[in-house]
Order: sequence, then structure tokens, then C-alpha cells
Amino acid sequence: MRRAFLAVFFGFMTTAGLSQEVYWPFYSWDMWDRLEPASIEKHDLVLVDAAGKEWRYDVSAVPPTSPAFFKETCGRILLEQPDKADSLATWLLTRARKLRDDPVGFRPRWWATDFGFLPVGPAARESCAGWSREMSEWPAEFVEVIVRRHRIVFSTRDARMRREHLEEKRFPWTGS
Amino acid sequence: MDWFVNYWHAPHRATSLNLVVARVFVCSLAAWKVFAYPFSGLADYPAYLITSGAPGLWKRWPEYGQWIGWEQTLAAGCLVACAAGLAPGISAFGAAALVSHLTAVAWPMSYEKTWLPTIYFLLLYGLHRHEDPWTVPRPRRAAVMAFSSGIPGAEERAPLDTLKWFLVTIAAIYFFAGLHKLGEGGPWIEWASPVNMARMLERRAAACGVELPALAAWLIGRPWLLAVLGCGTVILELGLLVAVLTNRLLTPCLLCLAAMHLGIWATMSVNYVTDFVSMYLVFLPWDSLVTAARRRGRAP
Repeated sequence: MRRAFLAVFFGFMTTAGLSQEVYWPFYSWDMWDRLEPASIEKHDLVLVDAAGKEWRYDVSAVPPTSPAFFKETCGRILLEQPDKADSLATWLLTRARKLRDDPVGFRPRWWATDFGFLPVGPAARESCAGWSREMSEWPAEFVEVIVRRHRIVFSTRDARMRREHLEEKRFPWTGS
Repeated sequence: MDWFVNYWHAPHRATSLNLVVARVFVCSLAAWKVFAYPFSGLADYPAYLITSGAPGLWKRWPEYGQWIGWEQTLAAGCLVACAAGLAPGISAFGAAALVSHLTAVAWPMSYEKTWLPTIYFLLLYGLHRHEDPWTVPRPRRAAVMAFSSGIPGAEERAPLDTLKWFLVTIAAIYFFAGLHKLGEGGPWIEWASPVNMARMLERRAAACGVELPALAAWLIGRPWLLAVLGCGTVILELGLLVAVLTNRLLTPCLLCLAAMHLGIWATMSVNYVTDFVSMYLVFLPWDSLVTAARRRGRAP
């Protein structure tokens, strides 16, 4: 019985590992194995207050999902699925209000978990500290959410990494 | 230099104390993570946000979100019971099933893979639970006596399989990760090329929306070093399984892999230290360490 279990266990593990298919919890372990393209497209979410000032959608509002998943999925839905865009924009704005009113409730517990964006190094830490400083100044409410699509061109021997603006769309608050 | 025990070649080195330490450590760490992981936060998300590109369950049953907190509590309970050695047949397999399910439905968290070594340990431990005499109820047929003195030949020992198969599992994970870099990444020298390495570092920072970490920026200015690190990564990932099977260089291999994970964490903010490097501790000779500490304590 135990030998049969072990045979099935390692059979699935090897098959998943070699075939790149995932038979959960047997994963293919294709980790960071692709050749990186010269550029990628990314989405950014921005909040707008009543005075027209823009605020980054805070990373603290993202957990339990990862920022990459959150921004990319929300960005794609806002730009490509008009039937869902308004309700998603309202949800994003509501979530931002909740975050402002209860920042502690949204704080991820870094010490036990990792969503892959722990601020490591002074520059990265400063970025996150900037978010937190911004958040402490957030206004009472936001009136609009903006989604921006960018192209990020990675650095080459002659040029540093740069960001090219591709598209922008605005979604005003439609909730009650 | 043998800090770690190669249980593949010396399964008799696995005294029940080593197994108990492994069980308590892995289950306690997992229970802590399950308690702290905000699985239940997904319940607030609109269903279409979670089901966008999601596999399986969310699409069929998006209302599941409201039950995720209960499943999280049950999983943590099973892990605590397993750490305490209570009904290991039920608690180990129950925890493996629940944690596996939680990580599958919580796929947008993106680092759910880091739970898999824990799940594999629980499955292997549950399968060989009769090897652990320190459980309630006690196994009908304990494979070994309780705590060994750690002195070779002082007591008869029977081989234990949990730690042996777990070591092979960890080595296999790294092996497949290295293999894909050879296969899918084109010629491996291309994957490890400075251009690809530098883009990987920049993409990670861009995806997280943070400035490039200082160490990553420093490395990008040193292409030869990036190439060495890229090649070293592939060699280490493939090499651990070879080290285990040939019984050579296990300790240097694990130490270099730990350094690799620390480097990845520092340059890409990808933390596999908590979930993978911590698992290396399971392969330390805890019985010998305890015996040495006892001797030191008795010494005048």
C-alpha cells in the first residue's frame, strides 16, 4: 500500500515536472525559466480626489492578492470589459475608502507571509515608505479611478529602462 | 563537512527524535502561516475578479469565498494537531488536503507554490506515521525505539522513510526547476546570459512597482557576474539531486542554495527563504546535536 502510494506520488511529481502540466498539488516547477522579452506591458491604477489630485492605488489595499495580479487583472477588466468596468471602478474606490478609514485592517502581515513584494533594499523601501506617507494624507473620498497602460522597455547597453505611455481611461464614482 | 544528513544514503540516521523535530517544525511553521495568511480576504473580492483566468473551482462555485475562513481555521487546527502528534493519520492527511485546496483556490496570491513542500511533507509523514512513536494514539507497530543516544552503534536503529523521501522530493523540485531553464529557456547559456538576467531583475521591480533594489542595480552593471550567477543557479538546481543520489557535497549544495535564495530575495524581492530554506533545517542531525548538548551539560 505504501509502495503504491509512493509510486503514485513520485509518478505525478515526475510527470508534472517533465510535462509542465500542473496536477495540483503536483506543480511543474517551471520557475522563472523563460527568456525575458525586450519590453512588457503593465497597468497602473491611480485614484483622483475631489481637487483633481492623483494618488497611487496603495499596495496595502491589494492583499490577499499580489500587486502584480491585482493591477494587471483590474487594469485588463477596466480596459477590455466595459460591462464590468463601472462596477469594478466603484469597488476599487470603495476599497480605497475602507483602507483610509481602517488602514490596520488592510495591512498585510509581512512577518509570516510574503506576496513577493517585500521591500528589499533602500530604494525599494523608500518606494513603499512613500506609499505609506501618501496614504496618511489620503483625502476623505476619491471621485475617480484611472487605469493607465504602459510599455516598459528594459535597459540595453546604451539606454536605461524606460516607461512609455500607451493608453488611459477614467472611471468616475458611480456608487451611492 | 557534513552539517546535513543525507537520508537517502543513510536512512538509519533518522532517529525518531529527528522525525519528531521535523514534524513539530514543519507543522508549526505551516500552522503559523495558515493563521497569518489572509485567505479569507478573498471573500470581499467580486467574483469576476477572482474568476478572471482562474482555474476550476472559483468558476464553478464563486460563492465559495464566504466559506474560505472556515476552511482556513480547520486547516490550522489539523496542523496544530499534527504538530502535537494527535491522530496523525487524520491530522496529517487532513491538513495536506485542506492546505492543498486552500492554496489552489487562492491562486491569485501568486506564491501559493511555496506551500507545496509542506504539503509533500504532510503526505509523506502521514504515509509513514507508524515510524513516529511519539504520537497519540501510539502506533501499534513503531518502526524504531524512542530517542536514540545519537552514538553510532549504541542502539539498534531501523531505517525511517519519511525524511528519506522528503529529501528526494526537495531535490526533485530543484531538479525540475533547473531542467526547465535548460529546456524552455532556450539554450541554457541564453537563459543565464547577462541580458536575460538583467531583464529578469528589471521586470520584477516593474511588476512590484518599486525602484530597482540597490543590489540588483549594482549587479546589472556587472554582466560577467550576472552570467556567473545565472550559470550557478542552473548548476545548483540540477546538482542537488545528483548530490543526494551520489552522496557527495550535500552540505555545500544546500548552503549555496540558501545563499542563492537570499540573493534572489535581495535582488528580486521573491522570498523562498521562509518556505524552502527553512525546510533544510529538517535535515540537520538533531539527535546528535541534543546528545552533544547533553554531554556538554554533564561535563564538569
